[in-house]
Amino acid sequence: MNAPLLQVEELSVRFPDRRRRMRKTGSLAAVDAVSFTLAAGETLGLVGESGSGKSTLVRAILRLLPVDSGRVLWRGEDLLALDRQSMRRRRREMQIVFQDPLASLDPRMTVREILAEPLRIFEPGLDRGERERRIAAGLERVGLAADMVARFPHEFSGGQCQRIAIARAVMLAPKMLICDEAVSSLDVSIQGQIVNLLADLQRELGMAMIFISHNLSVIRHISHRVAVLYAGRLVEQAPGDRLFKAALHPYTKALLAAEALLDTAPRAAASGDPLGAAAAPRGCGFANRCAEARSACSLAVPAWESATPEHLVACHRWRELPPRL
Amino acid sequence: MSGLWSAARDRLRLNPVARTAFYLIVFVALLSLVGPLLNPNHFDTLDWAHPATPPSVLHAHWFGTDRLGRDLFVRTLDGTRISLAIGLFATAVSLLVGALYGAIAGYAGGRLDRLMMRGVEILSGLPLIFFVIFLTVLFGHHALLLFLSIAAVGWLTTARIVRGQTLSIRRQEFVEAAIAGGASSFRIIRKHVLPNVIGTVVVYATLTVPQMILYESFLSFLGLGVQEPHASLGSLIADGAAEMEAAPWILLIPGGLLAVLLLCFNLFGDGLRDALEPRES
Amino acid sequence: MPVDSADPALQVDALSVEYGSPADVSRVVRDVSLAVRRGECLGIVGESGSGKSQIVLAVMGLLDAHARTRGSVKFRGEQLLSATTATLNRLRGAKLAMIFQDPLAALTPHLKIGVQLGEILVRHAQMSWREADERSLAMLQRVRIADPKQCLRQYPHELSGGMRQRVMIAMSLLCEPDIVIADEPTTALDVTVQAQIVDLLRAMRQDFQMGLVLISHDLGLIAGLADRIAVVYAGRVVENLAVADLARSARHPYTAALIECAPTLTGRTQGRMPTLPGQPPSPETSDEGCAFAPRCARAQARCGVERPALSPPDAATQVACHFPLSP
Repeated sequence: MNAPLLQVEELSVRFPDRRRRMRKTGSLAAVDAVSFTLAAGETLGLVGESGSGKSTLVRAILRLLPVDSGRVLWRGEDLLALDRQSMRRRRREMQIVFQDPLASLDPRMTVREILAEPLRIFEPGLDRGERERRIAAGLERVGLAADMVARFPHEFSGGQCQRIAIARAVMLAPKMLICDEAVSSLDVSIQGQIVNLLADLQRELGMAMIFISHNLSVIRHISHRVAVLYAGRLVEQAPGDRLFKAALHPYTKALLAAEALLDTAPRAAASGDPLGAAAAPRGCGFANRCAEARSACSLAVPAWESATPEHLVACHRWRELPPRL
Repeated sequence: MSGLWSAARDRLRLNPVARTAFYLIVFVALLSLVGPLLNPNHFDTLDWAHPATPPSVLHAHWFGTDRLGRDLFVRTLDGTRISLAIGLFATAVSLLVGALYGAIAGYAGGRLDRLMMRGVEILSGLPLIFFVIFLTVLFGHHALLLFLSIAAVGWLTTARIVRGQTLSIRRQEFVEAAIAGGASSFRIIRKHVLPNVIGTVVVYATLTVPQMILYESFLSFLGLGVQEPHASLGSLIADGAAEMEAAPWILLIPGGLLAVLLLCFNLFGDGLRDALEPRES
Repeated sequence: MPVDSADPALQVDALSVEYGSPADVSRVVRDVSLAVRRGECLGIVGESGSGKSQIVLAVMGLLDAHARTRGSVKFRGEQLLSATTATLNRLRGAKLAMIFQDPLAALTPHLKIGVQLGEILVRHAQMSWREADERSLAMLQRVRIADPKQCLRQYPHELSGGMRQRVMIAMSLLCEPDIVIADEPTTALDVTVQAQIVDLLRAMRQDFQMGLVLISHDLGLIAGLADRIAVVYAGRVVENLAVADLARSARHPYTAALIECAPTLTGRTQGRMPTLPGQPPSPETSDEGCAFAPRCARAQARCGVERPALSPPDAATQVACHFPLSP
């Protein structure tokens, strides 16, 4: 049994609540005791709406944000305990692609300089010719012509910029790639290009991926396992098809219902708006919007329970409610 | 980087006001270098026969003479040269020091940033004239002292501006991407922050030069700057002010030249800023 | 002028919008015609750069000063493109209303909701502030805002995204408009909230019977709300069809591709994601041939040279393609 590549344990990120700072109580939990694992070569789809904390979660894993408590075990080693130098060295193994393709590229650097950066940082001994070859190969791998090296990001379309960002991220063949809404700002007809590219790269390089999206159909295409976040807490985790066919948590069901709704008539299954970090509720974070909530739901945070060894859910009433088909 | 600069240069070329201002500056600068060589007089030759004469072709006193009979053409152009040199040098020093200081403060953030900017705030509050006088008393009138004291004024505002720019760049996603990519802080400042800040710095430079010149003129006007028999535009204006009623050209010529220079730098700076503004959406 | 309800309330003919100098012209909208009657919903579907937003901005008179328009936009018989600002101000917000994509940007940040709503009624319907407040309260209830009284007193930033969009919808309906234009009304919202807003739009359509123009890149969304669809590509309408038989009767290859990419319509969710190669052309490209040809699997030599026109002309269902898919 292989040890998982990434093991996140009870990770919490809290932002100080300015309103309550005087009393030194209370803080806003953007990410609340989240735990999950990721195996090598596996794609975990992370689903959530605004305020779910999904972007904060992955940035905390990469130590782009300060973490309050918990551990992030990368191949057995706690990233949060490393000093800055050691952490920097580990970064070549875990990369991230952001939502806004143009914003993630330095507007004053050419494509060549952008792609050369990882090489300069981690393989400074390369001579210029070898570096050029690697850059050209990197561009080809993402389906771009090698003669684009001298151009600037603003000369490219959104889809092309995202390819450049992906080329930069996989330049050193990382073991894990995090895609934070990587296709959400692209046209529908282009999203498929990028998703298929990512799937191909994953196979080619044997990478694990954490794929964040609010778009369930995209998640469906690319994920092996799916985890659902709501108000900073993980509420359900299951293998892909199982989640979509037999979801157990009311919030997951509401998401699925909402996606299907748009071309048919049934009513929306969740009222109100997604909970942001503004409220740190006792009990289940979804209770105030849940059609199935009872009074007990607001009293205690539901614990992780296993419907099957691979299907975990945090809901007080999951046994009584029919799974979505 | 060259691509964005050439685009800016093209835009600048299309701006008639900025272009004219630029050529005028170049013209004045060249004139200040070459002009005195064309005139037989020296800047400190006292022509007792023609004190305070208005501009005429006689004896090559094209701008007239001052009270002591010194040729104003040569003195004015010499003064212009000195003023420009001081302005450019002081600007360069203040930009270098200020930009580095501001970039580090802005990038580091937190306590270091607060500490550094507190230093800037304290220094801004001090009356510089006081220090200039004090140092002049200690070390006498030294050209280098003048240079440094003027640069000391400029770097503070540059530091503030660059820090502000750095703060906003620091928040951009491509900086986050660079951190995630394993770049060290030093590398990020050098490769990502400074190149993106340079645009603002360059524009600010063109607007700082006139400030420096003006400040030097002010010091010289008070007698703290360039010393006799050398002249700068400021000292000439000081001399001219005394003779305003009897011999107005002694004031008007250097005053007019200073005004033109300042105006051109400002206009060019405006044009440069418009040219460097990122593409319209 | 008496309005025949069978006549389209909004009639756009051969609308073109251009920017830039003659040497370097950018044609964002090219020869677009459409018609919307009261009670019906027209969906305009297109991706980025298709010009769909520019079309409705032209209708509302909200284009940049340096945009050049040609063609005709008639609202209840009045020509809008050449109308004076006074005429436009009389019609806009009252009988011709618009809902924008980002409600936070579209609402004035420093005015309370009650003031922003009331202002419209006071100006267009000549009500007193008291009456306006009552009407605003009633409308906020209709758009299902939980605590309308409280909402009137709040500022836009105090509301959630979903609530802000409801307020925008309420604003647009205050004066019982003939036509409401909704430009990507749900794109900035979360999925669960989107579903609620779609519900709401459906209900409002029933109640008010206004003509609704719905713009989106999301074909699934449009299919759920619209009666008819105009598919826009590179500034032109390439197909007009009824939603009822969308999946079966789409004839333009681009429409078919969009349908493929909308999994809520196809139900397909595994394997490789459907996609189109290449990317949409920029507005600077010339008008020769079919703009979609470079990405079309069915393209032949003729497509690169001769631009297909919408055919049959003046029909409700049209397609602009030399080799359309068989129905």
